[in-house]
Amino acid sequence: MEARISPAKAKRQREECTLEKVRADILALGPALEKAEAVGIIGSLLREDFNEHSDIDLLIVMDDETFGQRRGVDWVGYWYDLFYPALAHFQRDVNCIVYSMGGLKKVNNWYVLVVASDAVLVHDKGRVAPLFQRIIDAAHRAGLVKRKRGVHTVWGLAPPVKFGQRVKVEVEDDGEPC
Amino acid sequence: MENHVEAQVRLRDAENELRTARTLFAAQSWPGAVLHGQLCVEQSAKAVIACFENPQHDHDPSRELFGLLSENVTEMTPRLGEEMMTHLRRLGIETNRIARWHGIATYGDQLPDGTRLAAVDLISEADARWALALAERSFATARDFVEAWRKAGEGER
Repeated sequence: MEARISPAKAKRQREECTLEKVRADILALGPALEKAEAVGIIGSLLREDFNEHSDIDLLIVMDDETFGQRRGVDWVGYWYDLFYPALAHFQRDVNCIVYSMGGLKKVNNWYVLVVASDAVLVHDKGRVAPLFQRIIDAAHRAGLVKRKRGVHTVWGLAPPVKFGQRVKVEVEDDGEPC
Repeated sequence: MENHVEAQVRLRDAENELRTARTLFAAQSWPGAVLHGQLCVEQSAKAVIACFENPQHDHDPSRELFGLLSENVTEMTPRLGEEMMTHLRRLGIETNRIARWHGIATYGDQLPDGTRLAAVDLISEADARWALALAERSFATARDFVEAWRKAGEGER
């Protein structure tokens, strides 16, 4: 008779999920990563609040031409179908956040700053790390500061804040194609 | 990225959630009204936060909001008045209070004896009415704050 393991015990027996192990699993995909300009790890796996309920959060950056071949939501499905089986042994959900190079350059929302400052790139064809630095430099030029709220990185207005203060974060166009 | 634009984007999403909550309430879809009411409250709080910094990926941004209110109370109170500050603190309280309903409205819950209940069996008209009321006033507070922020910013230009 087969011994049955309780769900709680199965969870406890789940393989430990670490940054280095996830990095190794991603890199083991080899040529399958070719469509990505870069792949990185973001979210709680990089922080001290990573726990048994946490997901694995991945960042995928694509060049504009490749990204434009499908809808953004379809690329999320594409990358999920690649990464989830590779990381399934950790028994956690996998979230894929996909950006185009052009979208990053536009710094089209606050979260791009967090991605630029905190993502750990495990695969990079060479353009994304420098772009992240340019985004961070642009944030500093705009007067923004990076700090912690608990365990979370926050980019925001430098104190003392003036009510109504406006900031604009722009990355200078280097003329390079996205 | 422009902070006041980010705030406006969040506010549009909050307004859409409010409209959806109203529609579902009118259709007597109580779990849906609660879910979208919660999302309206969440996005309303994040619209205020987005004026200052990046909102977290969390259904309960109340701690961030309270942190910002505390850090900026000296600057904001003369500008906005005590009544608005009270509304903002209430927004924080209600963001926290309604956050857990996101999971309940989506997945249901269980009784102490382990019996599983679907959201539709758990959530009543009274729950939906409460969530909608929170959503209405949360959106109004966020809308007024973001508008005040916008006007103050234009005044400086």
